[in-house]
Amino acid sequence: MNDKAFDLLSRLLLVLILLVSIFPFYWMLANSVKSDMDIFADPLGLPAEAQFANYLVAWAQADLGSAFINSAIATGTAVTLIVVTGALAAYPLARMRFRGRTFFLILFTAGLIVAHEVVLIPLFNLFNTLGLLNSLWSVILTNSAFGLPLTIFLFWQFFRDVPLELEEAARIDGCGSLDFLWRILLPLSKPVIGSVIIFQGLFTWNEYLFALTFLRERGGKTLPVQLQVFFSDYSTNWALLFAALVMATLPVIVLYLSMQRSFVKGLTAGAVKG
Amino acid sequence: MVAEAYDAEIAKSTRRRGSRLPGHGIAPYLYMAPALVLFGAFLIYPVIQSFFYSLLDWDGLQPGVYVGLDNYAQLFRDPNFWNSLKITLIWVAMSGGILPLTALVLALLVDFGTTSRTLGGIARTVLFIPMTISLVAVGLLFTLFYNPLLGVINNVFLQFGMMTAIDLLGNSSTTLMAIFFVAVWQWSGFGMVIFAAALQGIPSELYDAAKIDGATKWQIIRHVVLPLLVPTYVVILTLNVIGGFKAFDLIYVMTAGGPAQASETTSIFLYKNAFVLHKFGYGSAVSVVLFIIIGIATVVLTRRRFAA
Repeated sequence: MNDKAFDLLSRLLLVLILLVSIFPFYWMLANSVKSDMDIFADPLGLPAEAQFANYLVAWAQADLGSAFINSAIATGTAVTLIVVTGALAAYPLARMRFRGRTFFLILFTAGLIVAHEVVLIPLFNLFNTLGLLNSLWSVILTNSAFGLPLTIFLFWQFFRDVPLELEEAARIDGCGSLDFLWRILLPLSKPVIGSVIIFQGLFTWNEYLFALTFLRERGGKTLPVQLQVFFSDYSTNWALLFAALVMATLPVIVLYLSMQRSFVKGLTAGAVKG
Repeated sequence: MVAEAYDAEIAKSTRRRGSRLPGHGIAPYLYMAPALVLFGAFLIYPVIQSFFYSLLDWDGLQPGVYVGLDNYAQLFRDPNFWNSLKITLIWVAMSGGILPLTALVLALLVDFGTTSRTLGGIARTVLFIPMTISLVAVGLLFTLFYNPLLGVINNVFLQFGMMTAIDLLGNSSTTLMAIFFVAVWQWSGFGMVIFAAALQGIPSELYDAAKIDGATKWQIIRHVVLPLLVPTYVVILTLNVIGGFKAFDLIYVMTAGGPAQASETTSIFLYKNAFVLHKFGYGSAVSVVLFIIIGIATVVLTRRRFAA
């Protein structure tokens, strides 16, 4: 195949793939402002006239307001816990000598192979005993625990490569170990912190299985679960379903488009490094 | 792959500077304490508990009764369990066989196929968007897409002269493929950016040399680029295979395992036994089996890469 044919063929193929990739988004947006009748009559076309009222109705009927607040609280708290406890744990693992160092590193990293499904029943029972079922703490604590392995690994990798001379100089100036972490290591690790926030934040925001199992009360659910409940309750109010989908997905898409580089870096951090 | 990179790193770092690190008494343990509490209480301890629970006849309400290995004996005779394992393996095979390929094709198209930087940039941005949305939202969107009442698929097939209403999700012979198409739509962009990072690591001298020798783009891809991408291909394959074993969200949202268990993976089988049928002991036995399968798959895949 010569270069001209190759260029033409691959450009055609890429445009075709892009259309397939974009079409569901176009379809979701177009139908979110139609009436049910219009969707039924012409599911693929553009809306004759835009009914933005669909959004107001869907927002109220789907109780998206409380779902957004719940997801935001759960995500914010979990990410804070993960970053703080993860950085604290990675610090001695990377820069101190102590008994059991290798053991703890392996223990934390081994957490990567544990699937959510495996711990679902014991955790349900635990939260039931503690009275934390239906509390956001159930998803906060589980998502934090499951976020730690990758986070500790990323911090550990970064901390380890900070030159020892820097630490020695800091020590001579009277810097204690916590000071060194707080004033020197953490400010240096901004890229890692950014990746962790994006990866774990998106993960918790989108997490389904724990939230489905632990949060069972009306008004107490996170966004993905609430969205799914709305879909089963209003299964034939097409227009409202599309409008709810748009409202649930658009914030993250806009965030991604506004900070694309950080997103791609954060979401692939674990894979590329390994 | 994280695990092995990290084996090597530990060895390196202990050799290199372990001896120079200052001793710190109990400080290291204090630093690790908060993470250990979280990790121990909500990850390690429940894994151990699963083993004990799997030995109980237990509905989650009344105290459990010790029954030894009865749950496992029952499990290995349960045709629904074997069915779920079969569905899971099909899903894993599709994830490992197809997703790395589609990702590779996308990366090559974006980086080599187009001489237009604008088109390449747009493609890179657009193809990664699905990755940022929850599996739940994507699954729900595509249930509407496949819904025979809305007729999107029917509309497309009508163009080709077929008239029967088609319900891809509701038909047990097509449902898994229909769901997997959604996984391809959502996940190909992920592998694409990993391949793209690997492509950037290839020195441009290699291309220049090949061009001077009169190689066409297609020949450069076949003989220069593809061989260099093999390690990356293995990484993406590993990630997709391990991810495949955990498939729950997308399938549960789209079909809940149906119709008639045609898409019931082991994860869904587990969830249904525990939280629909209230068989906590039995469900725990499934957890243990799943844990062991994923563990073996991870070791096998990462060791093979290690040897290569």
